[in-house]
Amino acid sequence: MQNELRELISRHCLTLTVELEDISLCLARLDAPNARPGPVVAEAIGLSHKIKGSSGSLGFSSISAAASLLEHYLKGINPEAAALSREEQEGIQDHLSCLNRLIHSASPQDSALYNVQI
Amino acid sequence: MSDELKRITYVEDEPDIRAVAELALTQIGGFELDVCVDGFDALRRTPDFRPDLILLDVMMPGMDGTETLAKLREIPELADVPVVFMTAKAQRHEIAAFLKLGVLSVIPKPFDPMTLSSELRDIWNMRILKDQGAPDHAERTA
Repeated sequence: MQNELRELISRHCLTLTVELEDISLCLARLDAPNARPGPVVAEAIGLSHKIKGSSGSLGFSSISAAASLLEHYLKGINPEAAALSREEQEGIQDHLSCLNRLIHSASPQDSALYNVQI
Repeated sequence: MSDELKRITYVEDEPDIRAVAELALTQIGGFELDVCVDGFDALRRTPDFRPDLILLDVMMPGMDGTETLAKLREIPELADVPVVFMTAKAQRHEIAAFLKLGVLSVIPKPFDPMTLSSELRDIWNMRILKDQGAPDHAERTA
Protein backbone atom coordinates (compact mmCIF):
# COMPACT_ATOMS: atom_id res chain seq x y z
CA MET A 1 0.00 0.00 0.00
CA GLN A 2 2.87 2.38 0.69
CA ASN A 3 3.84 2.52 -2.99
CA GLU A 4 0.28 3.21 -4.05
CA LEU A 5 0.01 5.91 -1.44
CA ARG A 6 3.25 7.50 -2.58
CA GLU A 7 2.02 7.50 -6.17
CA LEU A 8 -1.15 9.24 -5.05
CA ILE A 9 0.82 11.80 -3.08
CA SER A 10 3.10 12.52 -6.05
CA ARG A 11 0.11 12.92 -8.34
CA HIS A 12 -1.52 15.20 -5.82
CA CYS A 13 1.51 17.52 -5.86
CA LEU A 14 0.84 18.05 -9.55
CA THR A 15 -2.89 18.46 -8.95
CA LEU A 16 -2.15 21.16 -6.40
CA THR A 17 -0.23 23.24 -8.93
CA VAL A 18 -3.19 23.02 -11.32
CA GLU A 19 -5.63 23.97 -8.56
CA LEU A 20 -3.41 26.87 -7.56
CA GLU A 21 -3.42 28.06 -11.16
CA ASP A 22 -7.23 27.82 -11.16
CA ILE A 23 -7.59 29.92 -8.05
CA SER A 24 -5.00 32.46 -9.24
CA LEU A 25 -6.79 32.88 -12.58
CA CYS A 26 -10.10 33.16 -10.79
CA LEU A 27 -8.86 35.90 -8.44
CA ALA A 28 -7.10 37.70 -11.31
CA ARG A 29 -10.56 38.42 -12.69
CA LEU A 30 -10.97 40.88 -9.82
CA ASP A 31 -8.44 43.12 -11.59
CA ALA A 32 -10.71 43.58 -14.60
CA PRO A 33 -12.42 46.98 -14.93
CA ASN A 34 -15.90 46.97 -13.39
CA ALA A 35 -15.41 43.45 -12.00
CA ARG A 36 -18.09 42.46 -9.49
CA PRO A 37 -16.35 40.76 -6.55
CA GLY A 38 -19.30 38.58 -5.46
CA PRO A 39 -19.24 35.77 -8.03
CA VAL A 40 -15.45 35.73 -8.27
CA VAL A 41 -15.02 35.53 -4.52
CA ALA A 42 -17.68 32.79 -4.28
CA GLU A 43 -15.84 30.74 -6.89
CA ALA A 44 -12.52 31.30 -5.14
CA ILE A 45 -14.03 30.17 -1.83
CA GLY A 46 -15.04 26.91 -3.49
CA LEU A 47 -11.58 26.40 -4.97
CA SER A 48 -9.75 27.12 -1.72
CA HIS A 49 -12.16 24.82 0.11
CA LYS A 50 -11.27 22.07 -2.33
CA ILE A 51 -7.53 22.53 -1.78
CA LYS A 52 -8.05 22.57 1.99
CA GLY A 53 -9.83 19.21 1.97
CA SER A 54 -7.71 17.35 -0.51
CA SER A 55 -4.26 18.51 0.62
CA GLY A 56 -5.06 17.86 4.28
CA SER A 57 -6.27 14.35 3.55
CA LEU A 58 -3.08 13.62 1.65
CA GLY A 59 -0.86 14.74 4.50
CA PHE A 60 -0.03 18.32 3.49
CA SER A 61 -1.25 20.05 6.62
CA SER A 62 0.51 23.39 5.99
CA ILE A 63 -1.04 23.73 2.55
CA SER A 64 -4.41 22.76 3.96
CA ALA A 65 -4.05 25.39 6.69
CA ALA A 66 -3.04 28.09 4.18
CA ALA A 67 -6.01 27.22 1.96
CA SER A 68 -8.26 27.33 4.99
CA LEU A 69 -6.98 30.80 5.88
CA LEU A 70 -7.58 32.02 2.34
CA GLU A 71 -11.10 30.56 2.38
CA HIS A 72 -11.78 32.21 5.72
CA TYR A 73 -10.45 35.55 4.48
CA LEU A 74 -12.58 35.41 1.33
CA LYS A 75 -15.67 34.57 3.35
CA GLY A 76 -15.16 37.83 5.24
CA ILE A 77 -15.56 39.89 2.07
CA ASN A 78 -18.96 41.43 1.47
CA PRO A 79 -20.30 39.71 -1.66
CA GLU A 80 -22.58 42.66 -2.39
CA ALA A 81 -19.74 45.19 -2.48
CA ALA A 82 -19.26 47.00 -5.78
CA ALA A 83 -15.49 46.69 -5.51
CA LEU A 84 -12.81 45.41 -3.17
CA SER A 85 -11.01 47.81 -0.90
CA ARG A 86 -7.26 48.18 -1.26
CA GLU A 87 -6.84 46.41 2.06
CA GLU A 88 -8.91 43.45 0.82
CA GLN A 89 -6.92 43.25 -2.40
CA GLU A 90 -3.68 43.16 -0.45
CA GLY A 91 -5.10 40.64 1.99
CA ILE A 92 -6.07 38.30 -0.84
CA GLN A 93 -2.64 38.65 -2.42
CA ASP A 94 -0.92 37.91 0.89
CA HIS A 95 -2.92 34.74 1.42
CA LEU A 96 -2.51 33.65 -2.17
CA SER A 97 1.26 34.25 -2.04
CA CYS A 98 1.52 32.10 1.05
CA LEU A 99 -0.41 29.28 -0.62
CA ASN A 100 1.65 29.70 -3.78
CA ARG A 101 4.92 29.44 -1.87
CA LEU A 102 3.84 26.33 0.02
CA ILE A 103 2.50 24.52 -3.04
CA HIS A 104 5.50 25.29 -5.20
CA SER A 105 7.94 24.19 -2.55
CA ALA A 106 6.03 21.01 -1.69
CA SER A 107 7.47 17.66 -2.57
CA PRO A 108 5.86 14.26 -2.04
CA GLN A 109 8.26 13.60 0.84
CA ASP A 110 6.73 16.54 2.72
CA SER A 111 3.47 14.68 3.10
CA ALA A 112 2.91 13.27 6.58
CA LEU A 113 1.75 10.09 4.87
CA TYR A 114 4.81 9.55 2.70
CA ASN A 115 6.74 7.45 5.21
CA VAL A 116 3.81 6.05 7.06
CA GLN A 117 4.17 2.39 8.02
CA ILE A 118 1.09 0.30 7.46
CA MET B 1 -29.19 -4.69 10.10
CA SER B 2 -25.86 -6.46 9.89
CA ASP B 3 -23.85 -6.60 13.14
CA GLU B 4 -20.59 -6.10 11.35
CA LEU B 5 -19.69 -3.28 9.02
CA LYS B 6 -18.53 -4.85 5.78
CA ARG B 7 -19.94 -3.10 2.73
CA ILE B 8 -19.62 0.62 2.19
CA THR B 9 -20.74 2.86 -0.63
CA TYR B 10 -18.39 5.80 -0.83
CA VAL B 11 -19.41 8.92 -2.77
CA GLU B 12 -16.81 11.58 -3.54
CA ASP B 13 -16.24 13.79 -6.57
CA GLU B 14 -12.60 14.76 -5.91
CA PRO B 15 -10.34 12.18 -7.59
CA ASP B 16 -7.36 12.52 -5.21
CA ILE B 17 -9.48 12.34 -2.07
CA ARG B 18 -11.41 9.46 -3.56
CA ALA B 19 -8.25 7.55 -4.33
CA VAL B 20 -6.69 7.96 -0.90
CA ALA B 21 -9.93 7.10 0.91
CA GLU B 22 -10.45 4.07 -1.32
CA LEU B 23 -6.97 2.86 -0.49
CA ALA B 24 -7.54 3.41 3.21
CA LEU B 25 -10.96 1.78 3.34
CA THR B 26 -10.02 -1.31 1.35
CA GLN B 27 -6.45 -1.95 2.40
CA ILE B 28 -6.48 -0.75 5.99
CA GLY B 29 -10.16 -1.27 6.74
CA GLY B 30 -10.69 -4.38 4.65
CA PHE B 31 -14.12 -3.14 3.60
CA GLU B 32 -15.93 -4.16 0.45
CA LEU B 33 -16.27 -0.83 -1.25
CA ASP B 34 -18.37 0.59 -4.05
CA VAL B 35 -16.98 3.94 -5.14
CA CYS B 36 -19.28 6.49 -6.74
CA VAL B 37 -18.03 9.67 -8.39
CA ASP B 38 -21.06 11.82 -7.57
CA GLY B 39 -24.62 11.76 -6.28
CA PHE B 40 -26.09 10.66 -9.61
CA ASP B 41 -23.67 7.73 -9.73
CA ALA B 42 -24.64 6.82 -6.17
CA LEU B 43 -28.35 6.78 -7.00
CA ARG B 44 -27.69 4.48 -9.95
CA ARG B 45 -25.37 2.01 -8.24
CA THR B 46 -26.23 1.84 -4.57
CA PRO B 47 -29.54 -0.08 -4.74
CA ASP B 48 -27.75 -3.03 -6.36
CA PHE B 49 -24.71 -2.91 -4.09
CA ARG B 50 -26.80 -2.99 -0.89
CA PRO B 51 -24.26 -1.38 1.45
CA ASP B 52 -24.28 -1.55 5.23
CA LEU B 53 -23.35 2.13 5.31
CA ILE B 54 -23.03 5.05 2.90
CA LEU B 55 -20.14 7.48 3.26
CA LEU B 56 -21.15 10.64 1.47
CA ASP B 57 -19.25 13.79 0.58
CA VAL B 58 -21.29 16.95 1.12
CA MET B 59 -19.92 19.50 -1.34
CA MET B 60 -20.31 18.01 -4.79
CA PRO B 61 -21.24 19.67 -8.05
CA GLY B 62 -24.60 18.93 -9.62
CA MET B 63 -26.16 17.24 -6.63
CA ASP B 64 -24.71 17.90 -3.19
CA GLY B 65 -24.63 15.49 -0.28
CA THR B 66 -27.84 16.66 1.35
CA GLU B 67 -29.79 16.35 -1.90
CA THR B 68 -28.23 12.95 -2.57
CA LEU B 69 -29.22 11.86 0.94
CA ALA B 70 -32.83 12.92 0.35
CA LYS B 71 -32.99 11.02 -2.94
CA LEU B 72 -31.36 7.91 -1.45
CA ARG B 73 -34.00 7.95 1.29
CA GLU B 74 -36.71 7.78 -1.38
CA ILE B 75 -35.39 4.39 -2.51
CA PRO B 76 -37.19 1.85 -0.29
CA GLU B 77 -34.29 -0.60 0.08
CA LEU B 78 -31.94 2.24 1.09
CA ALA B 79 -34.31 4.18 3.33
CA ASP B 80 -32.78 2.78 6.53
CA VAL B 81 -29.15 2.47 5.48
CA PRO B 82 -27.05 4.67 7.78
CA VAL B 83 -25.33 7.59 6.12
CA VAL B 84 -22.15 9.28 7.34
CA PHE B 85 -21.28 12.67 5.90
CA MET B 86 -17.70 13.59 5.15
CA THR B 87 -17.18 17.33 4.95
CA ALA B 88 -14.99 20.32 5.66
CA LYS B 89 -18.13 22.10 6.81
CA ALA B 90 -17.68 20.70 10.26
CA GLN B 91 -18.29 23.56 12.65
CA ARG B 92 -20.56 22.68 15.56
CA HIS B 93 -23.67 24.34 14.12
CA GLU B 94 -23.04 22.75 10.71
CA ILE B 95 -22.70 19.28 12.24
CA ALA B 96 -25.88 19.84 14.25
CA ALA B 97 -27.73 20.75 11.05
CA PHE B 98 -26.47 17.61 9.30
CA LEU B 99 -27.47 15.39 12.21
CA LYS B 100 -30.97 16.86 12.04
CA LEU B 101 -31.18 15.55 8.48
CA GLY B 102 -30.82 12.07 9.92
CA VAL B 103 -27.19 11.28 9.19
CA LEU B 104 -25.53 8.92 11.62
CA SER B 105 -22.38 10.97 12.04
CA VAL B 106 -20.08 13.50 10.39
CA ILE B 107 -16.41 12.93 9.63
CA PRO B 108 -14.56 16.21 9.19
CA LYS B 109 -12.29 16.87 6.23
CA PRO B 110 -9.41 16.74 5.99
CA PHE B 111 -9.56 13.22 7.36
CA ASP B 112 -6.73 11.00 8.46
CA PRO B 113 -6.58 8.04 6.05
CA MET B 114 -4.80 5.96 8.67
CA THR B 115 -7.71 6.20 11.11
CA LEU B 116 -10.67 6.59 8.76
CA SER B 117 -11.63 2.91 8.89
CA SER B 118 -11.45 2.66 12.67
CA GLU B 119 -13.44 5.87 12.95
CA LEU B 120 -16.18 4.35 10.79
CA ARG B 121 -16.13 1.14 12.82
CA ASP B 122 -16.46 3.17 16.03
CA ILE B 123 -19.44 5.04 14.59
CA TRP B 124 -20.97 1.74 13.51
CA ASN B 125 -20.40 0.05 16.88
CA MET B 126 -21.87 3.01 18.75
CA ARG B 127 -24.99 2.66 16.64
CA ILE B 128 -25.27 -1.02 17.45
CA LEU B 129 -24.90 -0.30 21.15
CA LYS B 130 -27.49 2.45 20.96
CA ASP B 131 -29.91 0.16 19.14
CA GLN B 132 -29.39 -2.39 21.91
CA GLY B 133 -30.46 0.20 24.45
CA ALA B 134 -27.14 1.46 25.80
CA PRO B 135 -27.35 5.08 26.95
CA ASP B 136 -25.72 7.54 24.62
CA HIS B 137 -22.81 9.70 25.69
CA ALA B 138 -24.99 12.61 26.72
CA GLU B 139 -27.10 10.37 28.96
CA ARG B 140 -24.03 8.71 30.49
CA THR B 141 -22.43 11.98 31.42
CA ALA B 142 -25.62 13.70 32.64
